[in-house]
Amino acid sequence: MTARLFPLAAGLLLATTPARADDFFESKVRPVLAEHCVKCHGPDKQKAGIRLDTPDHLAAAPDGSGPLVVPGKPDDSRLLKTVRHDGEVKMPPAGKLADPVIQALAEWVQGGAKWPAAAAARPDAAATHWAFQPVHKPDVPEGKNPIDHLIRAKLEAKGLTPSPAADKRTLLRRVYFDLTGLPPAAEEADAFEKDDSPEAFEKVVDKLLASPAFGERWGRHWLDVARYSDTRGAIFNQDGRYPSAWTYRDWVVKAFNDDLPYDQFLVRQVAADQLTRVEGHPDLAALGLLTLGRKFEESEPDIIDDRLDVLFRGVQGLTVGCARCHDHKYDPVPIKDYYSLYGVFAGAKEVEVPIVATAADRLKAQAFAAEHRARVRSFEKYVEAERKRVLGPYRQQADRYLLAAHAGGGEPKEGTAREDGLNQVVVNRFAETLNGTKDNWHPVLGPWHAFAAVPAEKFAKEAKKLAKQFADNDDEEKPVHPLVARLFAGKPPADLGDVAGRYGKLFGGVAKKWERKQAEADRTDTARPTQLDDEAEEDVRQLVAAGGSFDFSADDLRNHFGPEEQAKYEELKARISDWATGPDAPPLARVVEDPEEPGPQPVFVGGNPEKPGDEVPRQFLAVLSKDRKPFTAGVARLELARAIASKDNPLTARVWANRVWGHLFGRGLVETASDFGTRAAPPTHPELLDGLAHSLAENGWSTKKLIRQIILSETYRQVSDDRADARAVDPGNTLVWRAARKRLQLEPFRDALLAASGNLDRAVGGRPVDPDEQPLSTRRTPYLAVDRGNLPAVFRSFDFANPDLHAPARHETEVPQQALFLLNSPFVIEQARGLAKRAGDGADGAWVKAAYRAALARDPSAEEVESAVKFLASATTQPPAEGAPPPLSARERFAQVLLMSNEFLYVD
Amino acid sequence: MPRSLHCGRRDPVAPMSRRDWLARTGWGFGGLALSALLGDEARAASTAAPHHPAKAKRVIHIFLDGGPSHLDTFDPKPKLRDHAGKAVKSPHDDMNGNAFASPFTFAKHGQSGLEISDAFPELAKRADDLCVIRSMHTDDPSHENQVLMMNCGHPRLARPSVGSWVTHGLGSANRNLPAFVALYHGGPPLKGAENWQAAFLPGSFQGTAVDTQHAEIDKLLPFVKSPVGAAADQRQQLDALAAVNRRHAAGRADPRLEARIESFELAYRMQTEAAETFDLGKESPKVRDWYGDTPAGRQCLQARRLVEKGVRFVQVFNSGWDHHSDLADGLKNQAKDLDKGVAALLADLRQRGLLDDTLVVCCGEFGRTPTADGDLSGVGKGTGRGHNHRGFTAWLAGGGVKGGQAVGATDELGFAAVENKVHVHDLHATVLHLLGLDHEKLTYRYSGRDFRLTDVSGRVVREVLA
Repeated sequence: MTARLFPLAAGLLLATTPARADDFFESKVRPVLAEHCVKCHGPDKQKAGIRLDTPDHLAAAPDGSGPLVVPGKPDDSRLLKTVRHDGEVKMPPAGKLADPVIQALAEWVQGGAKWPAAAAARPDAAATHWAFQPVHKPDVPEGKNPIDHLIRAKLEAKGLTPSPAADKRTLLRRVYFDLTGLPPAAEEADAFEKDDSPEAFEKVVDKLLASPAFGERWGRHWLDVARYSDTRGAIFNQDGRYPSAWTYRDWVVKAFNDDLPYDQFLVRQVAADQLTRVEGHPDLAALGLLTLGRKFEESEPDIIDDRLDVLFRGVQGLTVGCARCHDHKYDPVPIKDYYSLYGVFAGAKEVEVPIVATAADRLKAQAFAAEHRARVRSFEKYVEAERKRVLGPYRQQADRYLLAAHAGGGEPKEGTAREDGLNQVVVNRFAETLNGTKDNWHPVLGPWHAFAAVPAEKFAKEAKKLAKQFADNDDEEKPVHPLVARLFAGKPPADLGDVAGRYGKLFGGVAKKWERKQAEADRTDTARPTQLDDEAEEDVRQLVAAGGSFDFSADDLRNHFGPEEQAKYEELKARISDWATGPDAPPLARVVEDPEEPGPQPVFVGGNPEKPGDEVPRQFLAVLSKDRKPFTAGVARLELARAIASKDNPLTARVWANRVWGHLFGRGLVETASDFGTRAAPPTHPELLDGLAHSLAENGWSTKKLIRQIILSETYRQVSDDRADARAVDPGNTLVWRAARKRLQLEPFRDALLAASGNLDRAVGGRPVDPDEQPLSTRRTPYLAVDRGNLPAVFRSFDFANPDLHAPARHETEVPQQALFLLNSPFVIEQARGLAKRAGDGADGAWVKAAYRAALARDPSAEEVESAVKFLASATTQPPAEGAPPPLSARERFAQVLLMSNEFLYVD
Repeated sequence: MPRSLHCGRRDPVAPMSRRDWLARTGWGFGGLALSALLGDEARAASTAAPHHPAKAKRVIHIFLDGGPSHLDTFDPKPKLRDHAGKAVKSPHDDMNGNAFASPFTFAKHGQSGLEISDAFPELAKRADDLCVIRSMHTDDPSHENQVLMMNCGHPRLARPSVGSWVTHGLGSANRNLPAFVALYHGGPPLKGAENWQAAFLPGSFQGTAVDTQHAEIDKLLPFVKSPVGAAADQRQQLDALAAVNRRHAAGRADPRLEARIESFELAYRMQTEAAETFDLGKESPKVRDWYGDTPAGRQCLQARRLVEKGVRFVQVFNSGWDHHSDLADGLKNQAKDLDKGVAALLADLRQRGLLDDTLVVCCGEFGRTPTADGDLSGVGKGTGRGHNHRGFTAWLAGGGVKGGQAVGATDELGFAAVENKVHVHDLHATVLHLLGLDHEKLTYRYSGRDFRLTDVSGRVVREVLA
């Protein structure tokens, strides 16, 4: 359906939904006016007195000829007549606009010619947008439950009433799944039904909040926010496993079980290292929030963007990522603020460190590290030997390679070795580096290029001047690296070969020193150094060794290995990663290591790191700061974390309270849980959201207290039944006139299948379990490995949160793969067999009753028993094919029916 | 109403948009007949609607993984022979080296006289069907980045694949089969499942990946066949399930419950239809010989069977085009099976009347250098070509494409596209256009903004259109 076919429908929508009208204006109208009109009708020139960069002249233009635009009537609007060339005045003078562009203007006028204030009011949004205002405790009459009071107020305003309370079994099943992601046992439901004491429900809620299963369920909710995965993603020929991810997952689960105050929960995930300063502290695992994302081919801007996205959409409900390339179009986040945050993470490295809680841990960590060193050593030695074998002693031949690269082109004869014995691939690498450094002054290679540009006949004379210039090194525009400056002190070079020789000596010397240092570390069984102590030498090393631009990394080499070398290379590399992910490894935390001296942080103009703009201080967002001060170097992450986790930050508590509400009611008070910006729909119940946020902070940021408060409300305890009268007024149940009927997500669904069969393994924590490994794991679903590079088909078809990106909410799709999984997967068939067995071997009637109780925690009705017994009596079973596993018996098939039933998947 | 204003955000108060419904109820995989649940508008249409009349209704994308050489296939450079073995400079100084003349022979083919090398003798007979874009270019020469760029429109970030966008835009034409199928052989290609990811679109738009080295249906599509028990047993069981579910649904008035009841029936039917579709044994030996009993031949035949049954987007991964050395034999062998299969595919689609509204696209992530390359040790030195992102070739055939022509050109040695340059974004915009989708209107709101396949660029290459 296109705009041209249904202009009226479009107009209607534009007029009724402001966000969409804004979209339309910003994408289709404003750019047209800006490009074609504003030059002559804008701030600089106002031909005929008219301006089109503001809405001021739309209704009445100063040229005295009446309004430019009649809202709703494009044909009567002068603007349209002019651009359509219908009248005397034809605009723009450069030529008629394209039809679709004119059509867009017409649609805009048809829709009311709204001129959204968004862009103009951007600076004001901080002062006016609800989400940026302080949290206000709502007024609630003494003795009233604030949740019920505020929900009812809105219902009454629409002439609606709440729904009655759900019966006890329904309520119990709901609260079990909501709090623990597991179903109640039939006996638990019986006991609750019999308990007439007024505290019966409260007792159950408290029991569930205290159960370890609570953290497993709510921890998993958080892992959606954190885009948790046990792997880095698909990487060619590399082991993508994070050996440490599971320690973050377990830390999160434990934090929920311990009811770690939410503000602390956040601070530790952003800056546990700067908070504790204790080596091996178990809280270091919390940094997984920052370090367990995808790695985007090691592109730092993307890695940092991902971190900021998780942090700011996840915790602040702000899409700061929009400000990576330009000021945020709708929210008060300028590009400068983006890079102020970016700077907090720039230049940081990720390293895995052992978590050490006991003396035994320490010994284990030491033994692990020694073996790890040994394995790294064999790998590195192999790579070094191969580098020499394949490429020759090029690190000691930089002089000859510089000259060969300078001579250019390559060898004249195709398919044979170079006559000079050099390796063409190395020549190309040198040539590439020289080409790349030619146009902008390079402190190490600049002098080379200068000498190389001198014609041979003028060399003697020019070289003397150049040598002096470089040795003096006082040209601020063209600083020379001190080690290179030294090369040209004394006797000036005789020819370019002499210059190459001097460079060759420097490069070769640094490379040799580096190689010796590695060998020394190997001899003494210490970790191989990662840099040279001398700063100047270290600069040069980065060029000529360790895969620098004159050098070849292990990966470069691998790309050119034959199959035998490839295999050996992979084997040695796998020995390192297998060791780190293996059972002997200590628990590891993937932590952030900040650069010692963070450099200045420029804005990247247009998001391009190669276009540095103004420098910005490392600091928090202006819109969320009162007296903004730059962060202190060395603790910038901690200060960032505290700015987020502050009581004065209006977003933190609101965003979290909204997520909690959303998990319990199937829909947040703000529907877009990760976007509280000016373009998101405002909360359905602003006072209630503030009430929840306020009490969260007041109650020591206790998530458990917040959940308890919500669950004990009458609003939560309503039935989920449909009511035609209420639906007519509020079809989306945004006013919460009933409870939501919720579909189980993948984890509680799979866990409930295991619970029904009696196979559920309740072990807590530990290394991830391969979901495909036989025999199939019966652990709770959060402990199955999440491989973002190859998510199991079942995860995908059951709407698991995409682990590549922060997931604001799960999709809910109904696809036939789900039914196929239930019908045909060995996993479900195993649970069906388990359930049939668990229901005993009584007569059909008794068996049916036991099966219903085991699967659905209730007794079947007489009709249900009758119908099931009839099935069991009439069902036929075909004999299995030769060699096939035994077919399902009639009872097993009925057990599977219960597991596949809607009642099993949906929670009233 | 322009789709950019319409997609992405669900308004909970208004009735859901039809596309939302389609997403939630699995049009990505073969949706459900939800006439009871949808509004009148939806009832009237059987699939999601395009933006403008479509020339093509389905796509087969043959992806040549590794960066196939344009200079040895579809982009003849006789000048390379003049410089053979001599040093030549590339316009950006990044591919300097000795010129490497193609070991393949080019000739004019068909009425159009389109030049194609003898690496593709069978496909050359279909020259008049082919529109060869010789001026493709992209942003960098890394496999990882550009494989994702070609398949998802961004070199690194998680973005929906082309097939996901297309099925999001058009839905499925067969309720019993996946709408988007990716075929690979003997293990996933570089970047694995990212190539057919749905990213932030609902998971049901993700491609269903199939490793064609398997012959058994349950290895091709997970859980499509019961490991125990016969269909008759399952029928009785599903009747019992329906009875249980109907009792439960009564009085609950929840359309989701009805949809799930229907989904079991659909799954039951799929078991039969999917098994038949993927069973190449249903084809005559003559047809199988025509395509060739090779991985590439079988993939091409599979692709035809799938689109014939209404699968919207089929992607064939043909891996092994990274010819750094030994290009003369390597490329020849790599092309051989594909040549036979893809030529048969075009002819077969034509004879079945499907080529008129099926778009066939064939390309790699980038092309190769006119200068020689070889491995580091000097083995095979000078017998292959390096990576070239500045110039490469893609070809299209079928629905809405003007065949028998070359569009655009690289420079005289084939280093870089110079005439009518076509970026990967432009190719994407053109593919969507042929399917009746406007690349600027096919958007999805995520993280506060409207995303599209072509990001902020892309233009429809008009010369390609018939």
